[in-house]
Amino acid sequence: MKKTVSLVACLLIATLLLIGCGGKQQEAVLVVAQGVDATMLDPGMHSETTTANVERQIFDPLLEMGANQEYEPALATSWEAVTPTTWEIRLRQGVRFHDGEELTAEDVQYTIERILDPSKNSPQASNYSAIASVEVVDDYTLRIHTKQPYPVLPARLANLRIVPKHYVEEIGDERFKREPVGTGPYKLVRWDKDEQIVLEANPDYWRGEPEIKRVVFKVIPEDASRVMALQAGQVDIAVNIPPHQVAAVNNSGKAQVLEVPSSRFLLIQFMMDNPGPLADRRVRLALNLAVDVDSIVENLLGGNATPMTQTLANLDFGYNPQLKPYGYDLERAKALLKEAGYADGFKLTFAAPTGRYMMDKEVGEAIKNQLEALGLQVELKLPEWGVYAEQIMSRKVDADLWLIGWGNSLFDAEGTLYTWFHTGQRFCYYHVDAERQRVVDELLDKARTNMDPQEREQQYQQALALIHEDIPWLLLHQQKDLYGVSKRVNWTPRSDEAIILYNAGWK
Amino acid sequence: MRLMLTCKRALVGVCLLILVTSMALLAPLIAPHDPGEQNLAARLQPPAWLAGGSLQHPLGTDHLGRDILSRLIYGSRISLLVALIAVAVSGTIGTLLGVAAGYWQGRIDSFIMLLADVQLAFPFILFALAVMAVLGPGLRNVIVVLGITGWVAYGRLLRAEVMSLRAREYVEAVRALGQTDGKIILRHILPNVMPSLIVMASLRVANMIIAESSLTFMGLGVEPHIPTWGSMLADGRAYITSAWWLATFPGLAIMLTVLGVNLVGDWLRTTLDPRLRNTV
Repeated sequence: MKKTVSLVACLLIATLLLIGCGGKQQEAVLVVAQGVDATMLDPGMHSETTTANVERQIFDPLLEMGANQEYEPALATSWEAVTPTTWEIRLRQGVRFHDGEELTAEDVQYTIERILDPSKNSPQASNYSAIASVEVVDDYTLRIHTKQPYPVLPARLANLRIVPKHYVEEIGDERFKREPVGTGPYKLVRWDKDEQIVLEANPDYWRGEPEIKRVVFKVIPEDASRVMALQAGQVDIAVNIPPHQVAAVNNSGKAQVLEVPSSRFLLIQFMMDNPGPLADRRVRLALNLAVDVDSIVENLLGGNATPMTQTLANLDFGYNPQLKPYGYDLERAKALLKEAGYADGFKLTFAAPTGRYMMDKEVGEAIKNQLEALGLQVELKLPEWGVYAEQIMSRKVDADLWLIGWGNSLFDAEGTLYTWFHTGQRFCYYHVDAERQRVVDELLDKARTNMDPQEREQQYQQALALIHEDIPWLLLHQQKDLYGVSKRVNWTPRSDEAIILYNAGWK
Repeated sequence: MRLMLTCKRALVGVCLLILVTSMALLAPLIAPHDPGEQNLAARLQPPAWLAGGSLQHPLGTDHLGRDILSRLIYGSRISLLVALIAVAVSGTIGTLLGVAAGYWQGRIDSFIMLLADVQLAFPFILFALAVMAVLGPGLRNVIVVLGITGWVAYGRLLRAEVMSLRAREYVEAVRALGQTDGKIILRHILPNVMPSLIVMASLRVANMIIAESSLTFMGLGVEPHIPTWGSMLADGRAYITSAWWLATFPGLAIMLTVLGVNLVGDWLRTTLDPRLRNTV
């Protein structure tokens, strides 16, 4: 009895603390709340969106995706393919790192070579594997040689943030993860692990000093707590507002929810590495037909998503407008299962993450239920995110079906199709007959190295149509990201989930 | 006067327990819906008496459109099952060790009490969390953890009781008659510690219900697909500001069950304790 009382009391006190101690905030601090902490502040050695959102305040890329999906100059003033395999890049002059040293072509060369260095084991190495060598022409000019023509290089360079060679070599990789020095709009002040990262404006920033002088990235894992902090005015930008809280945020008077279509989508991979029911195309189709994606989007996600029509997001280059979702038809699904010889169903394990994507656990539970309506026995596993991400990265997911989100910041089919459907790539579980596979591989290889955009687009669309026929995924939905933004801030969310603050301001 | 008061309270407790027990036993007959049945279109429906509610779902629906009343009814099964088995396991271990320590004393006693002290040095929930993290979540593991960690309370109580009993004249008398240790313990000591054991067990049932809910609440308890009060509470927490009924009803269910157990336990204590009986 005593314990119940103290449990209730604890919950009440926690709630009151969250609501009550908003207090007066210093006018000049902008607080951003994400669900998890950055794992490091070295831009070259991780591949996580949440970490990138912190370190991108400290470092600058060579170019930047602008509002109209076009690349704009950042540290590079121009980039041009002088031959199909040689890109010439000119750097902005007079840009200085936070320690006063000037940015030169050598820093760019070092940044790329460091990621490609096998001994450093950077998870980004495969992103730049098309690069053969980097040649420094003079202090402000360099040439990047690719192994084959590589049209998406500018998109890759937009994600490449430049590190200072002299400084990294001096302090070493381990210390650099915690004591970053870049050319970016903000400098690191303090990092309290799993709590907050404090940044202050760089007065000598080459774009001019940012209007917001101090930024704090706070870690608030619970959706409900992030919303309460936003309502109390303790947070200015909060990511992943759950759909059922949108009205509460908009009615709070302190903040509003901004919605942006995201390049990120959710999919369920069929484990096709092993023989079994899932090796049968009819079974894969039946599973697709049994899941009512429209209802999940409409009811669970409050309409904040779009059903996927193919294995590529609709914002990406190469998207095939002809393809349609498989649809929802439980009767046909049952008939297909029967035809495939599984009239009595079979056992499946299904893994889904919790707390990483919008309503992911709920989506997983709903799908389990719908697959059970088809007559399957489904065991749902909900591993902790860190464990799950590691399993996926190392191809060791212990399940027949697994749900994951995929964000493609290239906005190009290369970023999705090559990794997921080209033989031998990290996430390729696509095993169909040898001839079909050869054709798809060839199309993806050709498109990857084709400098003619129209032809390239057709090759991707063709590959997508073939993959669509083979049904390697259970297609789910493309997210719309919901950000809670305080009314005192001028800031616009982006489709690639990047939080960019140098041009944000106070109202 | 005091007895009468506790009698009334006990009656409330007994009623609560009968309610929960019959919910658990008759779950398939009285639950209006399958507890796992989802209806996404009817999610987050409020209880029947509020605007937007319907009699089809008297206590409303959760975030997946499942019927909350049905889940509460099925959830009572897990709470009672875990609590009863865990109490039986920990009670048995505690009795064996407590009696051994109190009867033979000496080194056995020191060793057993050392074990108890070591275990008491850890806060219970921390200890349970650590074990669950190693064993992995699951219904069976919850019972194992609660069963193993709960013995100390019984052990210490029985040790003290047995120590005083074994010095009584009648025990010395049977020993002088040549009775073996085993028979003395079974026939003359155990029956006399029974009242304390029963009272202790009844009070521990409440602790076990809360412990199971807490572990499940933290995601280290019963598997997610089994409806339990703890997991309903955990799921409902995210909706506490927009749909209060998700977390409130399982919370109430835990509270009322624990209250019922404690009221009955209190009454048992007053009735079985001769000292309290004499004060009436």
